[in-house]
Amino acid sequence: MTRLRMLCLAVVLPLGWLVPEPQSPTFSSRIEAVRIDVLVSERNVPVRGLRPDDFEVFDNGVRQRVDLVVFEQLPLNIVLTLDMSASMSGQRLEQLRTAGRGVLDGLKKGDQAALVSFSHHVVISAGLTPDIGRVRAALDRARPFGDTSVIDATYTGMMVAESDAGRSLVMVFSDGLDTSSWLAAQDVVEVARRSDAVVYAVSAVALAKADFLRDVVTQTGGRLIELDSTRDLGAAFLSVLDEFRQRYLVSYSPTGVSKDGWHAVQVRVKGRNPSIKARPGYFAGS
Amino acid sequence: MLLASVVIAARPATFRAGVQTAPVQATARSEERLAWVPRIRFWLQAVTEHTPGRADPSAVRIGAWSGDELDALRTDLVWLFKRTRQDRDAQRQYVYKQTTFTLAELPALLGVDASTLETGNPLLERGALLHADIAMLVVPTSLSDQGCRVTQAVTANDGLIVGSGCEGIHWIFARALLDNLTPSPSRSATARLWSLATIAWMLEGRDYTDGRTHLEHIQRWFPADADILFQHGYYHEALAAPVVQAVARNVSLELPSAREQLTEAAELFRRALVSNPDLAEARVRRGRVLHALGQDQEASDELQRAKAGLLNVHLRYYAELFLGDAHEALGQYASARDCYGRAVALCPGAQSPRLALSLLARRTGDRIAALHELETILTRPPDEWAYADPWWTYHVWQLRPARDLLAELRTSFLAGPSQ
Repeated sequence: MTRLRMLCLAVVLPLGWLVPEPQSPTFSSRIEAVRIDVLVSERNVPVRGLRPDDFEVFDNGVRQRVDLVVFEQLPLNIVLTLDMSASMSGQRLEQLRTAGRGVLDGLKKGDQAALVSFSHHVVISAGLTPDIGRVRAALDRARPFGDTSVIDATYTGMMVAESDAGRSLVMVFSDGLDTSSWLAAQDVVEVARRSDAVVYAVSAVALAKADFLRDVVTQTGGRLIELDSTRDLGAAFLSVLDEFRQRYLVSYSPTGVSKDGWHAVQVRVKGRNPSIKARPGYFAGS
Repeated sequence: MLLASVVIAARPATFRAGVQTAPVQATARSEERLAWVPRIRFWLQAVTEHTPGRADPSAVRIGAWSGDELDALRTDLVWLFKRTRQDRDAQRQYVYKQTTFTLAELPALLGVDASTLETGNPLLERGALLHADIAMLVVPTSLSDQGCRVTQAVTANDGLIVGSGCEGIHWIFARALLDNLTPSPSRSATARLWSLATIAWMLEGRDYTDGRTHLEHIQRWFPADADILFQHGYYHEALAAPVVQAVARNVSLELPSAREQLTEAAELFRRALVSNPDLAEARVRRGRVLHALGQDQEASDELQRAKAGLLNVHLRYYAELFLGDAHEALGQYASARDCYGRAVALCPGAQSPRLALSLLARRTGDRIAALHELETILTRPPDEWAYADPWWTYHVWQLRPARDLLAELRTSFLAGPSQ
């Protein structure tokens, strides 16, 4: 059963970023505003219509004043990070392509997409672009071969996502165990803690646990969907996109807390007890 | 080419759904079950006629024998060599399996010259070459379970379990032949070269089932041999790889943990370096293993020392990559960056040092540089750069590849006696 979770995204950006217009990459080491990406649900149904006063946010235990809440207004950057190893040939490849196309077809005006395909070789097949047709063409061109570098690819997907200040979703799919990554899993999980991208992962690894992907999605406030086969990939991909669009962006200017290091964040909704699962925090200046 | 096909021993009872569970039986025989005399005659003829390195008719026919037949042959050969070596009375009469004969009559009985049985060692070595060739060239190409013991193994490709396999009986038989070398296998140059070449072949093929028993057996012949200690360390390092550990966990295989494997590998590499301090490949791998064990300063020292004498590009690349990793763990980011940069210079198409440089940049919060490092390499067509990163083949790459060692073995053997 799909469990809806509260997703929390922390980003260190100027407050002015919260305008739904295309942005050029801007990075700052100052804590001008923290953006929390939140999915609130009750009985697995997203809760809509919440306002800034409805949220309670604690930064390192210090209550913060919520400045702004945005819902379904911001464009989306989605980085498809897809396993194209040898095991994805034949029908599985077609199922993956169909699922990927389904996500791309579900994007709206102003959204951007990118494609990172991987076997043992990681390839940025298409960088972030509003030209969705370009990404679709790259998806059609990708051919399965070789082994699996899911750790290297997940890192690359996060870096591509960070190339734009927009609201970013990295959607990782793999059907295999990592066989050839250079980067260590714990290093990439650490990057995930510091990243402003949210990672969702779909794993179709038979007889194995996707421990790395579980750690990454936990640190970014995403979700891991484990499938028995690639038959249901399309539905899984669309559920990720749908869930990601049901989120609030809650922004606050940190006060009464240090400007450095790890900030633990807690999000609550006043007067209710919804399902809330949030990114555990953020690194200031990372 | 599948880069990560893995074969690891497993117990039949532990296989889970989706994996073949039927035990592999030693069954099919294309030859009639032979009595001991024709069986030995048949085998001697095959050994004599076999051309090392080829899956010729002799190899194919012996390759079709069952494990039971090979076991019977082994018993007969051991008995035979013991008698011909120990007994000096050529007229003494023996009764073996209901056949009565004297030692003087034995060559004629078996259809060979007397010298063939008297000298012994060349025949045993040639037999070992035959059975190694069967294991490498004949049995792997067969879809049947010929050449298998009941021992189970799990095979995995691309990190996924794809079926079951078995431990090769021809390796067991070949080792048994060499066990009977006089005065001992450790005095035979052919046995040593045979060992190096066949271990290398198993390591390249990621055959960790045959590899384990093979290495343990051979290590007893050559307990202080630097090259074999190195290969043994290589084996344990490979078993620490995440994919091997993951596959083992998935079939509930009681494989020692990655840390235990690395510790064993570090010790074997250390012993190899005691025997031969110039064995640079062992030093590079020991450096990596020490780093993986968290002994970063020792790893750095070992890799610095290894770098000094390296000529091979692959080894230099590995040394720089691993040294960069050790420096990074020590917080020496500038040094790490230099190492990764030198690795890039050695293998410009390789993605691993670019990923490492990117991660270094990301550690310091420089997201633009982090992405730039990736874009310099990861936007190229995959087919153009598919095999450009030596890291991908680290667990199967050896400075002296199996094909070279096997060619040396065959050439050396055909050139003349080894002792």
